This record gives sequence, structure tokens and C-alpha cells, in this order.
Amino acid sequence: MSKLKEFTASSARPLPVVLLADVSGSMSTNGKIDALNDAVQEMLESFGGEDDSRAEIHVSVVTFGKDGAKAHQPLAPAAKVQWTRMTAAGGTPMGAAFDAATGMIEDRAQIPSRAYRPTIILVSDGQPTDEWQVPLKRLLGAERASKAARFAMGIGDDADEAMLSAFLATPEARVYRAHEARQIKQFFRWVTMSVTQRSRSANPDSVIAAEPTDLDDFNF
Amino acid sequence: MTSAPRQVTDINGVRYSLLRQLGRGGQGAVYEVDGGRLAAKIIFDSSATRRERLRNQLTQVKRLSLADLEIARPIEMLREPVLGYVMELLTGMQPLKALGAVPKDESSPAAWYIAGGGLRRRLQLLARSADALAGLHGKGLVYSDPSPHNIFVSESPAATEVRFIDADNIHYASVAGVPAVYTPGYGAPELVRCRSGVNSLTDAHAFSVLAFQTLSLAHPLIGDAVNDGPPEREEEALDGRLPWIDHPTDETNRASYGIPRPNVLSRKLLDLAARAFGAGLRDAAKRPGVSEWAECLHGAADATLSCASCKGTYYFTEKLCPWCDEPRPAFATAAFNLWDPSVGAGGELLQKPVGDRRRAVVAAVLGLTDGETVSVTQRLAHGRDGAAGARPVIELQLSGTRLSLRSVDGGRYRLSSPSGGRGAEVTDRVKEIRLEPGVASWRLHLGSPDTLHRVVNFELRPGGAR
Repeated sequence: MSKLKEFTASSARPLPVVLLADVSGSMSTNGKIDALNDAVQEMLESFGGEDDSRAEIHVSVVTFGKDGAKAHQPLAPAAKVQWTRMTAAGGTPMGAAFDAATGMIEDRAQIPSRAYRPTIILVSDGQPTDEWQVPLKRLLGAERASKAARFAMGIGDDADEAMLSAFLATPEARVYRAHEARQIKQFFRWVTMSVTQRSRSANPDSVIAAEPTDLDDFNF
Repeated sequence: MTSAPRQVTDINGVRYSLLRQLGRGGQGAVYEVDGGRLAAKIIFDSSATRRERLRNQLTQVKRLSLADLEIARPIEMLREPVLGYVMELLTGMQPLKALGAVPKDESSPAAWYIAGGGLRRRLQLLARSADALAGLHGKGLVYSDPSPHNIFVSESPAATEVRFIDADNIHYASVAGVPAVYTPGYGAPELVRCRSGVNSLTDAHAFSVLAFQTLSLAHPLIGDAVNDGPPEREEEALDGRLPWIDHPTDETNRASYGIPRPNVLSRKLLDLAARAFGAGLRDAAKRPGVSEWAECLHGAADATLSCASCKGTYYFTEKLCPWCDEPRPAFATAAFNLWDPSVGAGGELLQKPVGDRRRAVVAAVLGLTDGETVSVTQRLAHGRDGAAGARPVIELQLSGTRLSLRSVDGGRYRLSSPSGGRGAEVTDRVKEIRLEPGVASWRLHLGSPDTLHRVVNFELRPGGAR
């Protein structure tokens, strides 16, 4: 065997992105769940196409609805994800979703210590139907989840804006409001840009603050 | 991103259709423009400050004479709302990055390395990149952000074109307080720590990292301890606070990945790396400059042979092809010595003492693989550097013990026997000479007898045994 046949390449650091997606019954109206599915799919394609040798974006989607909170998409490299579309029914067990996210993010077996700081995205069109305050406190107090970059989108007027703001818990961050399905896509493009810029920024651990409106400059 | 415009307009109203994305950095992306000779750079941050700075910068750069350097010349600013500019860039080019990291799902990294042109082409591309940077430095300019993202190279493994894009990175070396723009992983420690602005030595650090990485597929500052450690450890490493991966005594940051360095870095390149990432890591003045890299990279590329079995390229000092273990074939070397007309009766080779003997001074050495056509360039023939050095003067082809020579620059060149007794000429018609192992053969003179010039001595060398 020649000595160079077997050399190995370095492995990229995972950059985890966890989406907490509301799949309660109300999401099935006005094309919301379809828009969300499309937006996530587009985001996955962008993430999967990133080929930076330093960071590899890993994605998990935790849904909360009829079946409670569950890992609809377990954490995996974005390029390897086979996207299964989400369907909407049931209540809004957001507290359970927070616990699921905390459990995943703090689990060193799923996200190794060498990973870059995670991103958590919360999308909801309604009010939590379970106890959410204690689970949110746990998330915001957890070692790694507390340092995560957090994004939140409220869809429609029923979304619990106070709760979404509490999730962001930083004064300069604001909840992104979507009044129509089209804006769901826009939000995801903004998140995608923030995450991909982070994967190549000088310090991928620092969170880049950008306004979602910047993006429209390119869409004409 | 899916949000790039399909068409853009420059400030003179000229429209450009954008085709595929060629590359992306933290600040923007580069797109191929329909038509084949241009590319557009689109910058994501479209703030007024950024717009003003870019306009000033491009106006300045357009005034500079960069025609002889391999830098994509900016043509025009784009019209709002897009922030960016159109520049010269040939189609069929890709970022150097494509050659510096094994794709994620590649099953055979060695085969992938060879398919990208292997060692020789990487050395040639890096040498040409170093030439361009050295040319800029020679004009008192700094590129600021050399990285595998903004050096574009031919996609075809048979070609070695190089273009630096991002002309908006070019600054005068004396400019103070220029915001430090660098690509993560390539910024000199003093830039990362905000202790310095950009200068030719910060360029040299970035270049040395990308050269080391493109050749060995290992980042010189990121060993296993860093790669497997928390992200903060990576910051420390890039700050220059940890030893480099091949530090001679401190083993704390060793890397188990990448190609063993001696297989891809020649002795001189190993020495440059040791200076760049050893003493030069924290003390910029101890870093080798890019012109030294250029010289050693060219020299290393010249000293490679091709493997007939796996098509890999390797240094002729190895007895077996390191990629596939095929024994090195018989080959020839062309040593470029100096002819000094002031010595002896009619002049002789310039010599210097080596130990208790005297040896001819070797200005360059070229390896000749059987069956391959190789050019003697202006660089080899006359020691010219930069773009001028790339022009071919004579073509050589070894075939068994026969060597064909042909002038390709219109010149006529003398061949003489070592005793000086016999003579012949190399013109634009193929001239064949016979090389015999262990016997001095014809000498090729690259200048007139009464001036100091280079003389080529050919020698047949045995193959390696398994």
C-alpha cells in the first residue's frame, strides 16, 4: 500500500441549527404549513450547498402539535437530510418543544463539544397550550442553549408575541411578524443568510445581527 | 443563496446577465456573466458607507497599472439597488478552494488530489499566485485578503491560469487604519488581534497558510487538539497562541490528517513553512516574503516527474511514486548552470566550493519525464520573474535516451560538446541529441559566449527500484 493512499482529511465543525416548528391545527389554514414546508426545504438546500471546510451545518426540526413535541427531523448534516413534509393538527405544546430542544442541545452525544454555537429558530402562529414558562426558563438557563443564536417568527395576529420575545430574551432582537405565507419564506431566507454568513465569518461563534429587509435588495 | 439577481446594470446602463455563482465569501458572491469574459461581484452589505468606500476604492484601483499582474481588473460599478462591480474574469475558472480541501464524501482523497492536477499543478498555480502578489508588493501595494476564496484558477486540470478577484481589497502599503478584512483562517495573528493594519507581511502570512494547505490539505495552525477541541481553541490557534502543527519540538498541536509534508513540500518549501509558522507566526519580520515563496514554488514544480501508472506527480528525489508505489522511471535532469566568459581561456561554468570540491552553480533544475513535452521558460533560461518569466523559449522532449529540442521564441541557441570541440544549433526545427547515462553530453547555451549566461547540462538518471 502506498503511503499516500490512506491520508485523511480534516473534519468540519458542526454548526447546529434547531427549528422548533408549530404544527398545530391552525397552521393548516391559509397555506401556512405548505409555505413553512417549502421554506424549510429551501433552507435545507442552501445549507446543504455550503461547502466551507471549517463548518458543516447540521439541522434538526422539532415539531409541536397533535403528537406532542417530537424530532420530526433528527439532527443530521443538512446535505444528508431527506425532507419529509410536516402536516398540521392538534394543539400547541410549545413547552414540550422547549424541553426537547434543551435536551438535544445539551446532549454531548448529539452535539459534540467541538461544535460551533447552535442556532434555534422558533416559528408559531398561536398560543402555547401547555406549561411553557418553566421549560423556557430551563432552555434560557442551560449551558449551551442559553448561548445559542435565537430567531423567532410569529405568524398572524394570534401569535403570542410576548412569549416569542421572552424566547429571544435580548433587547435588540425582535420578533419577525408574518402576516401572509409569503413572509414565512422571507424569514427563512434571512435566517439562512445569517447562518451561512456565520459559518464563514471570522468567528463563527459570534452572532451576526442583520435586518431581514436587507435581503429584498437582491430580489428585483 | 437563492436571492441573487439574474440581471444587473452598471452605472453606464450596460446590462449583464448573471449565470452561475462562481464563489462566495463572507461579504459577497461572484457570478459568471453571460458572454464569457466578465464576472460580477455582488456585495451583500449595501450600506451607504460600504457603497462610498467601494466607489472610492475602485476608482483608485482602476488608475493603478496592474495590466502585467494576474489580477481581475474592475470594469465598472453596478447601479443601485445592487452593490457590486463588474470585473474581468475568464469563464472556466473556479476558486482555488476547490483544490485545497477534500470534498466531504470523497472516497479516495489521493485520486481526488491527482484528478485536480496533482502536486505539480498545485505548485504551479501557487507559484503564479505568489508572482502576482509579489508583483503587487513590488508596486508598493497590498492585496489585504489573500485566500482560497478570492484566487481563481482554471477549472481544467490541464491549465494553470490564475486571477486574483476582489480588486477592492488592493491598498497602498502605507495606508494606515484600513479596516482589517481577512478571511477566517488566513488572517495574520497581528491582524486578528487588531495590532496591525494590512501590509505585505500580513499578505505573506495568508499566502503561506493557503500554500501549505493547498499542497498538504492541512491547515498549518489547526492540529488535532484544536480540531477536536471547543471552538475557542480554534480562536487561540488562529491568534498565534499555539504552536503550529509541524513544530519541531512542541507536539501539542500535531495533526494526524493531511498529506505527509515531505511528500508535497520540497526541502526549500519545508524551510519556508518552518519560518512562516515558527518564528514568523508572532514576529512578522521573520516571515518569508511572497517573492521567496514564488521562487521556491516554481523551483519545486520544476523538480517533479509524472507517474505513468497513476498520473500523479512527485519530486524526482523519491524512488517510488508516493501515490501508487510505482517505481520512478528513468528520467533526465536539466541543470541550469552559469557560464562565465571571464574565466579561463574561452569561459567556463561558474563554480563554487562545496566541501573540498568545486561544483557548478545550479540556478535551477528541471525534471524531464519520458514522453512529456516541457518548456524552458524565460524564468529558467534567463532568470526573469513574474508574468514575463512564464514565456516559453525552448521545448524539450525526452524519449528514451534521445532528447528533442526546438526553439519556440524565434531564437537560435548553441549546443556545444563539453570539450567545446563540436557544435550544433537549436532552431525552430526539432533537433535531436543522445544522452548517455553517466556521460556528460551536449551543453545548451542560452546566451552569447561573451556574456554571462545560463547553460543547460542534461543528464540521464536511473529509475527507482521497488
